[in-house]
Amino acid sequence: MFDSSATIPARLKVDDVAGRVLLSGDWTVLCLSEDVLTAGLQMLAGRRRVVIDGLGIAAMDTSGARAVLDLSARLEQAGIERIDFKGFSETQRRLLLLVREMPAVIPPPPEQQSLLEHLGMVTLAILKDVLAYLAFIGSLTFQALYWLLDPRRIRLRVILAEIQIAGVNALPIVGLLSFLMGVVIAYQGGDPLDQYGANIFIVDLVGLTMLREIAPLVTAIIMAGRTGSAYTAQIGAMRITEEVEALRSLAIHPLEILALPKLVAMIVVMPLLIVFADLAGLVGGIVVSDLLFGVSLESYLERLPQTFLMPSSFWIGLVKAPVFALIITSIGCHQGFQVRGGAASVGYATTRSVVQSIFLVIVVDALFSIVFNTLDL
Amino acid sequence: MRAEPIIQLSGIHNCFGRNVVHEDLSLEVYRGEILGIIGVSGGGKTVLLHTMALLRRPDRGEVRIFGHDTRVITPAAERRLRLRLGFMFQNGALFSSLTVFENVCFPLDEHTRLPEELKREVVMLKIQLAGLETEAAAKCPRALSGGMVKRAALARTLALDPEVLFLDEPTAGLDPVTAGAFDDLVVELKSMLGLTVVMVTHDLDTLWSATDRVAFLADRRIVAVAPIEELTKNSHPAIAAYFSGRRVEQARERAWKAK
Repeated sequence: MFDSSATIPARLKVDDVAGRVLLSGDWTVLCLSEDVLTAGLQMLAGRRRVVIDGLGIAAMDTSGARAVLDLSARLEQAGIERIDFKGFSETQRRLLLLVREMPAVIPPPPEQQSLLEHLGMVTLAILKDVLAYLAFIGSLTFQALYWLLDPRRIRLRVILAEIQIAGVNALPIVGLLSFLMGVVIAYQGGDPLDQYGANIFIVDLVGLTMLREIAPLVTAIIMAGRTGSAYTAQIGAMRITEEVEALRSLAIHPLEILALPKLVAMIVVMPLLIVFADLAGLVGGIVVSDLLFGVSLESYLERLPQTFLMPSSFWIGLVKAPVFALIITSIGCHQGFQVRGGAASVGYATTRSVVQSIFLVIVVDALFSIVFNTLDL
Repeated sequence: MRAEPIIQLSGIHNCFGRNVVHEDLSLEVYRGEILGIIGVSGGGKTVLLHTMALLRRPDRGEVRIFGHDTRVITPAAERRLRLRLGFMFQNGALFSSLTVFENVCFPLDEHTRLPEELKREVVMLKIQLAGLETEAAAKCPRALSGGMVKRAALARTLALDPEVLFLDEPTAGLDPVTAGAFDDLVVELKSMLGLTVVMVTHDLDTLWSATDRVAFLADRRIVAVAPIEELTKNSHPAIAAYFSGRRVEQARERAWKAK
């Protein structure tokens, strides 16, 4: 048994003439299977005395002992009055005794929720989440006020580090995606304009859509996916390892060091990133209109300041920046602080953080559109 | 009782970058014994345990488990070997998204073909063997106290009835009463199930009450292996320093009184 890794499957043979159940093979957890344990027992029904013979058992562990006891219980249920155990070794007998002492209680199955109950729970959870989010915003505002009252406590170093991570390191991806968006818009819009001979209006098209909508939105979506999710994961992991509680025990408010510097950094970084995205998008437009639609660089640059709704489009794009920054940071940090328990909870919170911030960003963007439209901007 | 060695380490080297943890380390574990591994903090005890349990491949040296050389073993054979080894991690390492019951059931689901009813009975048997209440089975790991986490981890480790049990600081962070109960549990399980136990511990009471032999890890190798009474008389400076504190005297007295 010791050296060979080879195992013999557990076997059960019923000898209905002699009234014996012969067990053989390895009665161990890895060698037991369903078909073995139920085979042929009904042949013994109606007998008064049955012997369970364990002489052929090569090895037995606790699961095997449990299976043997289950076997005898099933025979007992079938109306057999006397069941004898024979052929078991001393250690196997001790094991059987030990397992028999442990009552075979099965815990109650988890409570099944009805559909209505489930619906109620989900609704309550959403309401609770909204309330908790409002409380979080309130608490964050208080911390910000403390900073304003006592500017020495502003953690400049932390803020700068966050600006580096959230802003500078995001430049390549924001630039590349905005450039591609500029290319796509010019390429898609250029064709119909070309048919009317209105090639120069490609500048209006690219300028208006990029500066007003696409640059802020693309930047916000990248930041939600790249930075907001990172905030959630970081704070969530710190919650699991009790680092958040450690801060609290050292008399430092967790928001002051974990959330507020991130918020300030994002509010600084978002407008700058949007301007960068504007430029990259315009460059994408220039490349396409110059190469494919015969609008030269000079005429493009000459046309740009005179385009429709300019320069208000540029400013409108920038006005959205701090709002988007607030949404992404507050949801990212809030979901991080909501993490309870284990690793799965961090993944769950990160998903919620990204989904909720992108959702809110787009909703707020739509509201902005309506407001600016009624204001004739 | 000199049974056959089931784990043989020889010439083990382990290093992390420039930090050499083990150098030419050799150790044998015999069937049916409880072997304690002690040494100063940061001395590589956990790394040694991981090396024995096939969780870390040593940088050099040979690990033989049940006579198999683990350097030249097929993946299928390695898998079979792993099923015969159980490892209880220092912090439990329970899967946080599963309840205690599901944690214990997980290896059974993965590796066995037990009928559902028997599987549930076996899970509850293990949970009770580890000394947990039935109610604890439905709880999530985060709802458990430290002692219960250790017991739940032990139940999961026992799920497949391993022949060798590796325990990494099983009683660290437990109160003396709970720790004592845990020691008794390990000894009881060992005698009933015929286990071999290898444990890393700092708990002097555990060393006196539970172990058959104790290996002392110092200077990157095992400097002595002996029953605890003999080991305390060893003149190696590191061992003498380890056992010179007042806490040791108290633990020894407690152990004598208990006998």
